[in-house]
Amino acid sequence: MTMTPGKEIAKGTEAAARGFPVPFAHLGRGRSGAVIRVLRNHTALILLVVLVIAGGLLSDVFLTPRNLLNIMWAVSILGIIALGQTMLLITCNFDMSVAYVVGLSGIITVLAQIAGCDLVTSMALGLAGGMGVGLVNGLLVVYTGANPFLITLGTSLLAYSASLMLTHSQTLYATIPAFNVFGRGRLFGVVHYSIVLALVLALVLEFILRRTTFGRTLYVIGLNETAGRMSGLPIQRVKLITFVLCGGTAALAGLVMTSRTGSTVASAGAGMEFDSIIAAVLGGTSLFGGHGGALRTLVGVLVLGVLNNLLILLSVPIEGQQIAKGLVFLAVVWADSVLRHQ
Amino acid sequence: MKRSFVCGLAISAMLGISSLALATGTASAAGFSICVVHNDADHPSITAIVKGMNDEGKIYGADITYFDPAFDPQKQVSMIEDCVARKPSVIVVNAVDPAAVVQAIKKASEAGLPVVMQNADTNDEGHQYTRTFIGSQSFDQGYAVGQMIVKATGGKGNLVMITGKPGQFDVVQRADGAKKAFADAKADIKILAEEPADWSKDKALTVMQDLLTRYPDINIVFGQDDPMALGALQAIKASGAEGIKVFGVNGNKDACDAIKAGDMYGTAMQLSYLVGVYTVRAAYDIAQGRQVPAKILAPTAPVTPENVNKLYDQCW
Repeated sequence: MTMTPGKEIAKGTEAAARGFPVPFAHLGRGRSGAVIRVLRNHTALILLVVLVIAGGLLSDVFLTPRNLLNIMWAVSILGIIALGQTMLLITCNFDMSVAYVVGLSGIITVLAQIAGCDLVTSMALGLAGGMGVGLVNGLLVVYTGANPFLITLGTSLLAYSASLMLTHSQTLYATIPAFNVFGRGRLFGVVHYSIVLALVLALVLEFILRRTTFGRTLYVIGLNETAGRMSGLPIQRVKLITFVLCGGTAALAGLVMTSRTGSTVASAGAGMEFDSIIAAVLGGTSLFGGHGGALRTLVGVLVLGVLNNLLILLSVPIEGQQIAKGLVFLAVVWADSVLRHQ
Repeated sequence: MKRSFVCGLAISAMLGISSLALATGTASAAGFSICVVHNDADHPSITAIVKGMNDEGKIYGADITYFDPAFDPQKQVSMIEDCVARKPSVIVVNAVDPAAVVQAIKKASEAGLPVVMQNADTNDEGHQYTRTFIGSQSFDQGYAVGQMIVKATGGKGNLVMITGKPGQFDVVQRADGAKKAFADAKADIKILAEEPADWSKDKALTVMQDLLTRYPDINIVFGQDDPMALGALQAIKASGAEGIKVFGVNGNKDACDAIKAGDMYGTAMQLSYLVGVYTVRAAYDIAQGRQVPAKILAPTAPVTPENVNKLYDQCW
């Protein structure tokens, strides 16, 4: 889908008017800047290729099928969360409660199993719990017009309290053995189900984003909500549905994680709210809304996964690991602001 | 927009306060009352401490209130100040950061309220304001695991350590304890790597996967707590690697089950329940005006395949 150049030029002149000297923003204009534009528009993919090549050269075990599958298995959970988060980011909203929804949905599912529900019912209840939190987020943001970042931080505390109260701070264990297959089993004995799930979800969401009115409305909300409202699009309803969707993907990730580890922890998803945003931004989703895609977010998630893997394979000391992750984050945010302020 | 910012702040504050109100206990009245500020309530060892405190508290008719700052040092300081305002008989603090609590316990001491450190102690400067420390020593836990490892492997092997959040007191102490045990036994145990998994079972799984890829000749895994040890065990099972001995710390039920099943080879049982019991007893003695020892340590029990059946009931 092509974005109108008018919007981007408008934002650029706005930036120029404010006097922001965004580094290197002057590059990439006109015909000679074509190569630079390609580099910028596919930052994540290029970063991934560079990391993979570097990994292959520096470590002789990096490019083995087992290691590559391990990387994908490790990030599949974050990938599922990041996909939901991407949908919200495109509309210029955030969901900071995903981390505790991960824990809460796993706890609901296991409690349901302990209470005697069968596998499908328990998982449905867990998903419903996550979508419920998403609904609360959406209602509060849409009907109070308040800052989504702050709202979802508030609901994350509620979700965490609910988790602690439901479990009395104990660890709970899943009672149905078949449940563990979800997170640990492999399709044809080779590719983990959670990887397949993340891929299928990404393809479905990519289709929704590119080919349905609902998906296109998300971009409109992010780029110019007023214009969208005046053309009669159901802005409130679409935002609400997107929040529910994001809560749902977080719940799905929670189910996968609980089945993978076999037990519940209220703080299981800690840190994933930031990681999911970083992965989405790495993949080309803009923090200012209006840009992004599902498959591209998966690329961003893979970059994080490869980075984590290489830090251990290359025995990088712990302090170096934190520095590396911080630098990646800063580079990504800088690249995002450069790209948006053309 | 200013309006949406203020509105959002107000709503999230209301949600936050209401959730905290749900999570804490009732206010204390006259009589024997204890105000407890945890470091992070969402951990099995703290749950065991709370159970110990509640069970022993029934004997003395104690009114116990709990606060949880979820590892935030600043929140802990303000919660300790809240405790001071409630004027309990004794204040119990499980320090998130040994230095950050000093200002708060100083205020408590100046208000005439006795302070007791539990599970995680304050630093030397803070000791002048506290009556005692009740807990398990993480160095001893590490040492016990180190001894178990030496015994189970004949003192030879390649070891990887999976640690908690980098820089935390327990992390450093458990590692140092194990290393001292190796040195004392003059063991030839090579530590190939020490990687953090932030006390998370799932993170330990992915970290162990990568460690197995990097070092195909690992034979010993020391997980600094049982959840991480069990996460590492899952990675080992998924990879099909054999002959790796896994050790943990805590004495959790699932770790004891794993030892019974032959999957794990040892865990250093933290008797956190006893820490809770001893805390209430010490608080009672202090409230009665009696002296208490400067340190009250709950024992560490090494759980091995040989004694797991005997100790199983104590696993939590």
